Amino acid sequence: MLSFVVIGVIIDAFFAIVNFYPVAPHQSRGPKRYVVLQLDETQAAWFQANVLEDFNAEANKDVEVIRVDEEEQLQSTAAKYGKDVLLVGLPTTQLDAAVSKQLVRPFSDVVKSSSIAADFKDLDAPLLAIGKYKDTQYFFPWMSRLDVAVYRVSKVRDAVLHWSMLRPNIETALKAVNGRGLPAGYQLEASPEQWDQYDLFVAGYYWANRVYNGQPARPRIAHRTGDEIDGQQDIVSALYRQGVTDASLGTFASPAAIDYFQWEALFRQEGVYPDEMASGAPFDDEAMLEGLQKGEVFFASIDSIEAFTLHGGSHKGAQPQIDDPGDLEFTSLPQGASLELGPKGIPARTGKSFSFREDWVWTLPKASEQAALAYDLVRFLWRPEIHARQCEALGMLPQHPQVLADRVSRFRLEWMSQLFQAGLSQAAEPVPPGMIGKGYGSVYAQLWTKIAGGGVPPDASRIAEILKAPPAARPLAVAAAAAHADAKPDKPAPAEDDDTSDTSANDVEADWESDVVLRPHAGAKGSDAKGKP
Amino acid sequence: MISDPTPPTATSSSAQLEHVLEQAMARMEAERKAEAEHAAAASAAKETTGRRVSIAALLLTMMLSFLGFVRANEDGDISGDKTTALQSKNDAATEWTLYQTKIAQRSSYIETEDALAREALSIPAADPRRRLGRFHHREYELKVRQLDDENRQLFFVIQELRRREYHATKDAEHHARRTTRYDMAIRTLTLALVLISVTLLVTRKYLFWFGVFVASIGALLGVTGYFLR
Repeated sequence: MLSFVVIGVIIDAFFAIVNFYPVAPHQSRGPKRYVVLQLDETQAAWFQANVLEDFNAEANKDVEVIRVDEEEQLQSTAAKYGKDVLLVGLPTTQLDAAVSKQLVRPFSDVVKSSSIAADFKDLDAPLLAIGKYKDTQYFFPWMSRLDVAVYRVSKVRDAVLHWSMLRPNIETALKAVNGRGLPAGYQLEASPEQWDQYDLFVAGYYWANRVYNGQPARPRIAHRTGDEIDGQQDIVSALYRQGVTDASLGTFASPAAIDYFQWEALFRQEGVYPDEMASGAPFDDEAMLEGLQKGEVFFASIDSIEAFTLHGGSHKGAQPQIDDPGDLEFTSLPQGASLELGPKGIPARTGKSFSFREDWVWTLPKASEQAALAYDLVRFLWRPEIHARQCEALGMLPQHPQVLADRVSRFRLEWMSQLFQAGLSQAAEPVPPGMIGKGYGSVYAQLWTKIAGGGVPPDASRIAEILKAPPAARPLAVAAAAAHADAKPDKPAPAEDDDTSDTSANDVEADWESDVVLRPHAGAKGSDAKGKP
Repeated sequence: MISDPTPPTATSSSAQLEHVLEQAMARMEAERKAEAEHAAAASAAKETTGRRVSIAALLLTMMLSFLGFVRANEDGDISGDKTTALQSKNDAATEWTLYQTKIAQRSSYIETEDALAREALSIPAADPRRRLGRFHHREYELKVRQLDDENRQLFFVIQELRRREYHATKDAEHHARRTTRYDMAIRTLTLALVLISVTLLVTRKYLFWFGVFVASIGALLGVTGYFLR
C-alpha cells in the first residue's frame, strides 16, 4: 500500500510541477542529417530558414541543406555524406543511372503502399506518377520547372505602337522567303501571350532597328544555343512548337524542322539575333541572363526558377538582378507558325506554345540510415502551406492540387501569378529520352550552328538538303561550375537607360520624349529612317 | 462399606447435565468471542478500506485538480494561438489592401507618364513646358520605383505574417492534441475515483484494486500528454 501511496504522491508532484513548467523539455535533436539539392546560395539559405527549420522544430531533428551548383554534383555529394543524407533532389534524367548504380532505394521498401496511398491521397495520380519507377513508388515528386517567355513590357508597348513604320521593310524581308510577306490582315498582337513566330519576328525586327537612348540599334531577341544541355533543350522545344513530335524528332528533315530552321536563318539574316548566339561558345542561361540584366535583350525564353531569381522580390533575401523589375513581364512561349503561307494568306502550318518540363524528384539514398525520417520530411514538404511557400519563394511551379486550386488567392503578386500562369497554360512534356539518349539534341544543336550560325539563307530547299545530311551526335558536354561562377557579375549591370540620378541629364532629350529613331545596326538590312509615330 | 443413599442414575444425570451446560456455555462463549473477533476484524477491515479509499481519493483529487489546471493552461494557449493566427490573417489582409492601393497609385502614375509622353511630342524642344514635362516624368518615375520598393517590403511583411499564422495554427493544433490527451486522463481518473469510492459502500476489495488500475491508466495518459509532441 505504501508503495502505491508513494507512486501516487510522485505523480501528483509531477502534475504540480507541470503546472509551472507546461512545456516538456526537449530531447537532444540528435546528429545532423542532410538534404542535398541544387540551389544557389540565396535559395539554399531560404530553404534552410523557412522550410527545414520548421521541420526541425516540429520533428525535433537537425536537418541541414547541402547545396551544389550543378546537377551533376548531386550524386557524388550525397555519396560523400553517406548515411547521414536523408534525401537527394534529382532530375528525372538522372534516375536510370542512380538506380543502375544502386545509389538509391525505393520508398516503397520503407513504407507500405497502403500508407503511401493514405499519406499522399491529396496528390493527383499523375503527380505521384512522376516519382514512379517501374510501377513502384521509388521516388516522390519534388518540383517541375519549365521555360517561359520574359519580356520588357515598355519595349513591347513601343513595338506595338510603332512597328508599322517598318512594315514595308518587314514585308520585303518576308516576301523574299515566302513570296507573300506578312500574313493577310496582319497586325502585331498587343499581348505577347497571343504571339506566334510572325509576331516575334516583327517585334524583333523592329527592336533590332530601333535606336534607344541614342545607343546603336542592336538585336534584342535571344535564345540559348550551343551543343550543351541548355542550347539543345531550347532548340528542340522550339522544334516542338513548330510541330515536331516525339515520333518525328528523329526525322531531321521533317516539314516542321524545315519551318523552324527557315525562321532561324531569317532571324539571323535580318540581324534579329545577336552574333554571340553563333559565336561558337554556347549561348547559355548565364549569357541570356546577362543580356537581360544589362537591358540588351528585350524578349527571351527563360527557366521559371531563373525568372524568379532575375526578377527578385520573392523573399527577403532575393534581391532583383535587374535594374527595373517592374518592367519585366512573363508569358507563355510564342506559338509556332510556318513561314510558308497558304492560299488565303495565313500560315500553312501552325504550332502551339510549348516547353519541356523538367521534373525533379526526392530520392532516398541507399546508405541513408533514417529512411522513416526522410519519408516524414517528404510528407512535410508536400503540405499545401509548405509547398506554396516553396513555389512563392523559389519559383517552383505549383503542383499540389489544393495549391493549384487556390493559386489566385495564394499568389497575388502580378508578376508571380503571370509567371505561373505562363508555365501552366502552355503545353508541357518531359524531355524526350531520345534528345539525350539518342543524341538528337546534339544533332539539332549542330544543325542550328551550321544553318543559322553559318549564315545559310532561309531557303527551304537548301535547308532541307542540309537537314538530310545531319552531323553525328556528340556526347553531352557539361560546362564547369566554376566557369559559370566566374562569369556571374557581383552586381546587376545597370540598364542602359538608367540615368535617373544624373541631374544634368534634365536638359538632354530623353528616349520617352523623342520621336522613334530607326537606324539599321551593322549587318542588318533594315531601313535608315526617322519616323513619327 | 457404607452404601450411597441416592440412587446412582440420578447422580450421573446431574453430572451429564452439568457437562452439557458447560459445553453449551463454552460454545456460546466461543461463539461470542468469534463474533466479537469477527466484528473487530470487520471493523478493522472497514477502517483500512476507508483509509485506503481516503488516501486514494485524496491523491486522485489532487491529480484531477492539477490536471484541470494544466488543461486550462492548454486551453488558454489554444485560445492565444488562435488569436495570434486570426490576428496575423487580418493583418495580412490589411497589408494586402495597402498593397492594392499602392498598385492602383502606381497604375495612375504610369498612365500619367504615358499622357506626358504623348504631350511632349507635340511641344517644341525649346519650349519650357518640355522642361516641366521632363521634371514631372522623372518625378513619376521616381514615385513608381518608390512604390515598387514599398510593395516589395509589404510583400515581405505579408510573408512573415502568413508564416506567423501558420506557426500559430500548428501550435494551436499541438495544444489541442495535448488537451485531448489530458481530457482522456481526466475522464479516466474520474472513473477511477468513482470506482474507488464505491468500494466504501459495497466493501469489495477487488473493486478498489480495479479502481487503482484504472487510475494508473489515467495517470499514464496524463503523463504522456505532457510529453506529446
